[in-house]
Amino acid sequence: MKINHLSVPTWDKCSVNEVEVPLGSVLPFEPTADLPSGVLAEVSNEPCKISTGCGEEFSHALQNLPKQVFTVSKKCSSALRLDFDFKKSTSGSRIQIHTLPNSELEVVMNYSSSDSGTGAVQIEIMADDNSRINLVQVVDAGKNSMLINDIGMTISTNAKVTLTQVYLNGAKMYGGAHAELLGEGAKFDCNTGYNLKDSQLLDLNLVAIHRGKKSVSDIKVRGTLSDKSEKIYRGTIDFKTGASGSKGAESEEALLLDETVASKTVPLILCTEDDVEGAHGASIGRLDEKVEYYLKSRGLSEKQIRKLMAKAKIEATIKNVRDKMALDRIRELIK
Amino acid sequence: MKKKTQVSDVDTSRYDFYFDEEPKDMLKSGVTPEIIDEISKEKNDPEWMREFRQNALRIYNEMPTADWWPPLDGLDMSEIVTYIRSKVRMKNKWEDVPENIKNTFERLGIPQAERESLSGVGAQYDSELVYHNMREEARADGVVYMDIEGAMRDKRYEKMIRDYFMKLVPVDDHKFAALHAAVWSGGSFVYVPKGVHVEYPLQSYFRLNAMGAGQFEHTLIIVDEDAYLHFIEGCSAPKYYKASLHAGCVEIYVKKNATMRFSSIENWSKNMYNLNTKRAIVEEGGKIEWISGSFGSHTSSLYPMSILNGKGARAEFTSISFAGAGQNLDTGAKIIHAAPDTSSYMNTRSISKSGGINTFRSIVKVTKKARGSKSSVSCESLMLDSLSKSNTIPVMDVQTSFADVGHEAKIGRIGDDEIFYLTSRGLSEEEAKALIVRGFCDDVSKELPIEYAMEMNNLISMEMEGSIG
Repeated sequence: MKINHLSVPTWDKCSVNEVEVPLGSVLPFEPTADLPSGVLAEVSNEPCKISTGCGEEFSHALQNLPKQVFTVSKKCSSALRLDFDFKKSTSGSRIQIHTLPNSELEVVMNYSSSDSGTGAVQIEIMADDNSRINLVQVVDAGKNSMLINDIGMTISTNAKVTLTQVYLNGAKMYGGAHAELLGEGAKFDCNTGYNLKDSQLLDLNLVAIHRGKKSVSDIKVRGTLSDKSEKIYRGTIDFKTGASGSKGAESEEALLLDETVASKTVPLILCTEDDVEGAHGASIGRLDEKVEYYLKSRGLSEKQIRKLMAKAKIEATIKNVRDKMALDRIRELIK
Repeated sequence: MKKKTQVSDVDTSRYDFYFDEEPKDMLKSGVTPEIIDEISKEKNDPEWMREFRQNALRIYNEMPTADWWPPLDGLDMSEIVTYIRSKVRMKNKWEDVPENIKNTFERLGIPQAERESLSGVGAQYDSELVYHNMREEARADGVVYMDIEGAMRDKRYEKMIRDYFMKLVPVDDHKFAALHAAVWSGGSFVYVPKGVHVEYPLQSYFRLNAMGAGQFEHTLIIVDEDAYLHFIEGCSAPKYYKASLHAGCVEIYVKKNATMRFSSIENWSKNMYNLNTKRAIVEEGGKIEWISGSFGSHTSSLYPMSILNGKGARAEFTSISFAGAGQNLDTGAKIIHAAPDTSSYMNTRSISKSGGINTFRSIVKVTKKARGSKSSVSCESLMLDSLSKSNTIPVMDVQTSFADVGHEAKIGRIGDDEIFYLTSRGLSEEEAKALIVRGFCDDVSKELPIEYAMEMNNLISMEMEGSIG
């Protein structure tokens, strides 16, 4: 199966247009849910009708799984917690989070697995007018595991989706997110962080489509790669005609800590509207020699510096997380 | 009320002319083994080249067109004439060139430029070179600048051509590289000996005058150790209602500590499919500088590639493209860091207007061997209306930690704040916008030879109207 298609393809030889994943039949998996008041849980068999980061083929593979639908009707003070613990067989879940007008919710999703578990998760987010969703995802899966983490979003007038993703443990991690900024003043704020080591693979496809006027997107990806780890980041900001006054920015900071790592970055900006501001910045490479020298002069060993840098990338990623349990867990994992 | 400033399309009318001439002696349109054989016969190809062409045709027929290319729907290869027999033998005095052809190049300003600021000129008219000449000083230094077909038949250079021809751009690089290999005709061969600094640029000018035809010239340049060369390529054609095709190929070998600057100003007419391939390989301490201006064509697909093959090799790519109504310009560059301590810099500007499409496409690859390499990419796009389209599609592939790769891109329109500031300093809105657009292009135009910078300023002519009232 091919997933994480680049929004506009480029040279085949670059091997970035999509990624092939081996995904067999998927058994339904129901995560443990901790429901705050103001959130209604139901089950639906409706297929996914919105675009997602991983793409149609993945949606098709999961279409027969039951969908857990969470409808949010007010500003919730505590988080909806969903814990996924995938076992050896391929397990899949479909989740829909629908925030009704003026409602607000933080959702914390924890992914874990057995040593070689395979998880396939698709999340549909519908943020109605003036609503807020703060989605936090933490990946701490087994050493030989595979995870496909797919998100599709529609964001209405003055609604905001804040996405924080922390990819820490798991052999092969695939992440797709597709945000449709439909309404005027819609906002999408994405922070994705990773610490990759051993032979870990992280393959990302993060897309923001601006359709509403004065919509704003900000995608930040940052992390460290060591040992023989590999990362591909595909990012797209797409300004459609009519999205006047919109702003979109994407940035990536990839710190390469070993000679044996591999990093690919493909940050697209597509534009059919003149009254917009789109920007991209990327910095990929080793630790600045002056920073390294300074840290060494303060008595830190090379090992400590690497740890510190990895931690710093994740700390910068989680600045929007409010849930204390989630913060504690992430900090424990990067200790 | 705020009114939009109007920026005119690039004015290519200067190039949109042709003089009456006798009917052209064309081969049949399309690409078949028989046509390839006829081209070989016309050229008196050596046996290896005959086989090379036929093999290339097989590859062309088997290869699909890349699915990411801009649409080529309007290009029907069965309608394209790949070779036009020349009734003129190549001359080295303009007086000997037939009147109508000479007038064409006079009007393009080529003989005048040769007199004033060039070391040598090659002029190709349809499928064949009609003029080639070089200053005596350069010849005395051992510089070779001649038609490539003559070089292939010249015992002094035959081996060199065989060793280098389509080795950098392999026949199966892409479908139109294979087509080029099958039907190529005309073009120049340049060799700059060790330590020679060619004071004035050499220029090849390609004019495609025939309707429904293709031009497939091949340029092979070898700049030997410690040498320097500035080579300028210009191209234009009158506009016809039928599609034309340009699938040329440029191969450049920059040897140890040599420097090569390749400037290209492309003003093809807006019925032209410009599917050109350019590539350079740079050895230790060498440098390639690409300066590229893309103004014409219906569709362009052009990504000069630099392979940094020796320690400390460098590449710079500076470009500007202006896409107006009906144009789809898919341009950019590829840089492969394949040796330690190599460095590269890309700086591009694009302007889209009246439904024009600009796509900046690039790859910077830093291989495991390229420890200590650095690369910086900056691309800015200006959208002048919402009918147009502007895309940036960069790829950065870094395979070693001992590298620093940076990229920045911006897309937007002329900012209201900038206009406000300049108008507060006494400029009219028209003057302010003109100044901003010229400033936007300045990084690129200052890299061009002065006569080309002036030409570019003429090309991007500004017509302002409107005011804030």
